[in-house]
Amino acid sequence: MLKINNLHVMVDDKLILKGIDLEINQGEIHAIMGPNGSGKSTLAKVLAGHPKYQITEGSIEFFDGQEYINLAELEIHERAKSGIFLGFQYPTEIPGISNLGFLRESVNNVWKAQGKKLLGKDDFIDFLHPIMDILEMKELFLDRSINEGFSGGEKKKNEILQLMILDPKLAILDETDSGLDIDALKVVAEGINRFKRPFNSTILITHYQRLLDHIIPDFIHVLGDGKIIRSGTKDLALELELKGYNWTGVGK
Amino acid sequence: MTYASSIVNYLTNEISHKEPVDNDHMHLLQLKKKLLPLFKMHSFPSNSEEFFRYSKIKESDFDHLDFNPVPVTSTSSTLLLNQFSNYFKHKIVFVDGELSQAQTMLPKGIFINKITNRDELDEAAKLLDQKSFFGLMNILHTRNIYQVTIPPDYKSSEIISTFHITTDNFKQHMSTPCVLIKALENSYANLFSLHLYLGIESHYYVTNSALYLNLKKNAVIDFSKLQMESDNSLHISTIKACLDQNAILNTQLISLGGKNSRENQHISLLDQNARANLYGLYDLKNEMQSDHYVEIVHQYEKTYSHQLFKGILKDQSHGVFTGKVSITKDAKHSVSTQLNKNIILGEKAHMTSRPQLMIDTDDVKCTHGATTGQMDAEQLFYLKTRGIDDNQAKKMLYHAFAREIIEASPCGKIRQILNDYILNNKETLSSDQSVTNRCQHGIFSFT
Repeated sequence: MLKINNLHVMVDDKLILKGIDLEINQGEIHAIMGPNGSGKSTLAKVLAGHPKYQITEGSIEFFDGQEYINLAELEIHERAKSGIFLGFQYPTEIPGISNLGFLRESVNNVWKAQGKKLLGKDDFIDFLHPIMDILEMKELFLDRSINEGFSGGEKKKNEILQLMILDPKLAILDETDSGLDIDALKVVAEGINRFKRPFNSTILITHYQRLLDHIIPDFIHVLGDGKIIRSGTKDLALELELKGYNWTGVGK
Repeated sequence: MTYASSIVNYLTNEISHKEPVDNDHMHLLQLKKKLLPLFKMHSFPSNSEEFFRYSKIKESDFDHLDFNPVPVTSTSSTLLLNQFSNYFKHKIVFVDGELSQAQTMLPKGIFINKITNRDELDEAAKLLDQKSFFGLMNILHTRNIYQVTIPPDYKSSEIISTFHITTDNFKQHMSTPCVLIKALENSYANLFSLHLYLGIESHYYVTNSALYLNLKKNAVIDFSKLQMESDNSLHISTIKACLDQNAILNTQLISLGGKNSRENQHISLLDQNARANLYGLYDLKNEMQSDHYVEIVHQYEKTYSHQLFKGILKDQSHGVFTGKVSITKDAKHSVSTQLNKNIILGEKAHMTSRPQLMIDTDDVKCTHGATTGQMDAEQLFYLKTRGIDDNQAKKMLYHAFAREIIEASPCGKIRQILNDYILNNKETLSSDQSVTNRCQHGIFSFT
């Protein structure tokens, strides 16, 4: 699904990622952990194509269903259309655009590119309802401006709603658990678990073990100073919880 | 100081050496004769004057006007006009500056009439702008001054529209419509004004329009204006309003056309609880300039004003906003807010923003501010990560930016019209009309 080779990324003339190698196969969940400033969010942003993040070395190859393509050659919206989704750590507020209009515009664009049949307004709302029920979201969400005035938990639920309706091949979820209380964490985790199927993949970026109590990753990678310094299975997260990041040698 | 130009010569000949064509014009001609020397005393406004500092209107803009234009073969399309006409049952129609009685239709109890009577003219003259160069030019050049009276206790949300249509029947001409609206006690009127050019090819002409609003006690007026003049025209507009006790004036000015447009608003809050809420949006491209000049005078205690003006500037366009609020010594406990927000899209586009407050008393609440920047890069990124391309994402953000101004109208029909035509104006952002079409069909609809 995704092959990252020797990835070096620079932001504002500062090298943040210093040689990431990572391969993710269909059906796998990879958790990426690490202390603040280790480059986790940079990796997420560069996969989505943020213009501030420049690849200076290495490559990212993504399997679009037919062949591996060089991700760097795709525009941001083309990445979304080919099946990449970024769940934001801090979802952007956009006053003046209704959530419903935005969701439909997004789905129409992605589905059209994927050759799927588009839905009329009423059918689209009918399509949203069961997913919103899973996420315990009220209809009012649709009338409000995108993320404007949403609580931290509501914003994250809105991200997972988008994940579930766009149904991408690869989901990159950047600290989806931050700002969530215990109940909201369970609901969000339920959404992510429902999304996971044998033909898609997930990168979970998180600081803490607690999200991994609800979502069992196949692999865990620890990022430190722009590199993957340790990889393992879910037991690695428990070990990190007990011993802290210093144990992995981060910063030494 | 005298100054000579084709317009002064023309007006001098027209006024000084002519007899009234009929009794109806006698008193107006007398007024013009009285005002002509004042006009000739003026020099053309220059950038050294405070109220005209950043304007690009030049004396030479009037040099090549044809004051006795001969009609030519028109290629005007009525397609757009028909679209607007379908929206409005009641309308006052001016074609190339002249009232078209045949096309004018007003609701029961509302009339438009020429001011011919001396007493009425004397009363109107108190409100007319006899001080500024363009105000005087409007009075001296206009063929008639019209008056619309909103009767006491008249309350109807039905829109009374005024269409100012410019065809290409004449080349390089000037129109100077002058309308006075008197809203009597306890009345409410919902007014919409459209300035529309119907020609296929954009040619040069000048509009110098004046609208005088006289709001009596407890009168309320909602006024929206959509300016869609030719891309090659000069549009000068003056709204002068006086508000009595408890009167409320809400204005909403949308500037989408004209190579050079100047929107003057002079508001006097004369008595307690008078309130003016002014909203504006200018959307500029190429070398367009739009200059919104607002002057609000709080002359009595407990008076209120609010201004919100937004601009979007592309290419080499230039926007100017001057919001001048005077709180006089008699206007204690008054409240005034003003904000000007702009998005610059063109590398060579620029904005001059001048929020100004002059406070001559204590115990008032006043705020003012201005922001000018680019489209929010993080908002753009967010939309794009959801499969929305650059053009569509920019359109959506533009729409979100304009929404606050469009929503200022309490009337769903007007919001819908502004929504549609502001979005249509975005066609230069993308050849893909799908977003516009979808917006028109309600996906992003405000109403």
